[in-house]
Amino acid sequence: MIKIIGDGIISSLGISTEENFQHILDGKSGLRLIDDESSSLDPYYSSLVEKDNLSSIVENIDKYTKLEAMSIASILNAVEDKGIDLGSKDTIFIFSSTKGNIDLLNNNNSKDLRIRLWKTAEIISKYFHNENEPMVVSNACISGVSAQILASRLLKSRKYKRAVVVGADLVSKFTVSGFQSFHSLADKECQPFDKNRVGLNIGEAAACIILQYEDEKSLNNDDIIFLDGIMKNDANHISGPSRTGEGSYRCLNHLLKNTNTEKIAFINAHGTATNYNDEMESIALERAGFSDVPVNSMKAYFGHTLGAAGVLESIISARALKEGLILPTKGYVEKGVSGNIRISDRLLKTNKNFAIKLISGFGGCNAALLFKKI
Amino acid sequence: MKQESKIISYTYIDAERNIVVINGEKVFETENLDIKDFLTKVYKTLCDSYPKFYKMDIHCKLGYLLSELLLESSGNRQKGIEDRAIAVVNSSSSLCSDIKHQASIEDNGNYFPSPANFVYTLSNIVTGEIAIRNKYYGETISYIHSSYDSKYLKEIFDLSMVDECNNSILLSWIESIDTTAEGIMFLISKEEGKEGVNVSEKELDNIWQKLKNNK
Repeated sequence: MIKIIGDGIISSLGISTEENFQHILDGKSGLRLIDDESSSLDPYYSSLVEKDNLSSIVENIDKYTKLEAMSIASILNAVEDKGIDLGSKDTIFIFSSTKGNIDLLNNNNSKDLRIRLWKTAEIISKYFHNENEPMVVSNACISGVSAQILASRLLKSRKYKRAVVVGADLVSKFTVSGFQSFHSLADKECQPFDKNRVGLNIGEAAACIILQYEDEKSLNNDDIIFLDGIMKNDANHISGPSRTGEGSYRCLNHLLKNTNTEKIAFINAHGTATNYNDEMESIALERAGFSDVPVNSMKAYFGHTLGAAGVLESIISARALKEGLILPTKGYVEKGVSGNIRISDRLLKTNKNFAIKLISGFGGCNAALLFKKI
Repeated sequence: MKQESKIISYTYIDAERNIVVINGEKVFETENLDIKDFLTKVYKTLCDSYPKFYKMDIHCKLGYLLSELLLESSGNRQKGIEDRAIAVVNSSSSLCSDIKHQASIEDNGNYFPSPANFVYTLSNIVTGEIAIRNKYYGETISYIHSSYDSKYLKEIFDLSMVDECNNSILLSWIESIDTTAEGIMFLISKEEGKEGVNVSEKELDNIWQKLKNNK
């Protein structure tokens, strides 16, 4: 069995999983209006991390870029007090990001190795004196979920005992301008699945989840297990989701091999609050028979944190499952998708033991994870 | 006894050297074309019409051509399947398109970001292009690694096959930056009754060394 043995989050809402989770319970959002010409010509809503807040956590922080410092801090938060030796040979680092140190790119430095993700990953794993070559996944917005799936495969094949999975991305002029060119940024805090949703907010974060292979006998009550993970492509369009939610539907359908919809406490959807994404997910969820299962989105707390989202939102979902809670979808007021689904709009208690993380991204990729509470 | 997985076929393109190789045999060659013109020439000469090709960036064009030549020549297209993974590895992600996007936003007085280019600033788009073309509904994934590394490729193959959903894989190394665009793609299958060479780190290395040394 693959167990979550540690997790950490660095976001605008806090510099630990605990802080982030508490702020969500309090209904706080990390989103605010950013008016800064270095990242955008027009003001935009986003959730940003201050590197200075990490200087007491990361040693020699000046040696590291903001993205590297955030990633390192998320790992430090995940191992906190747990006595996990990250330098050991049976530990593998898996780094996931869409753009890594993209803020370093300008027109004259394309040879700089630090804008290569494999170099970034090396710098991060070296901080922890880990000599194994880190694995790097860059799979658009599903990167953080893809990385966890790869981790689970590495652990299942017993190549390593534990995997440190990090997801991280920055908000920079590069990404802001790109999403603006797609007209997908909202001019207010995003409203997932809502009738009045007008688009997404991007956010930055680093999140780390540590997975370890454990015998079934050694598991304790309330441990959270990574039970299954799956990736499927829509085979439809590189920048738009499938109208039938094909890839997401197939992912959800696959997970039902290990459970049934009645046992599932909630589904944490991608829920970016763009018209197309949320509509697509509602169709996929209905098609796969999840109409009665509560669905939530965390995008109005953090914005869309790109390559970090899959790790960050898995951590928050696992924590909610552990505490027997179904989190509300901040920003949601009135249903604005055609699929017959039940959107979680308030904090609820649950005694069910399964939760699903659903996600999709450019390139037609989709993925889903199934977590179980023992 | 369980059959060993086989490399059924592979394709190789070096746009800088203007060559196309299928299963070790040079099947196409020109001289003095720049990488973009060469890739267009390969498309027009060897591939079926697919107008989306012209929209793609260099990275995707290269990956697309490798997959088309591989699937067509080996007779293994099998449109619509769900058990074929697509995995690409490279070192510089989508740097060619990144630089283009960066140039369009660097100067606030000359600001022109384009969604048609921005979408290609993700290293996994090439996997999506191949999936769309062939209606492959299986997993698609993009890895970043410092160089062509047969040990790493074998590991990626093994990882894909840990999942019982996957029976075959298009496994590829594609690197494009500046004036370089070079890639190799393997079709590897664990299905019974397929002919090919057993997949191993050594075999993946031998094939690559031969291609690199064969001027």
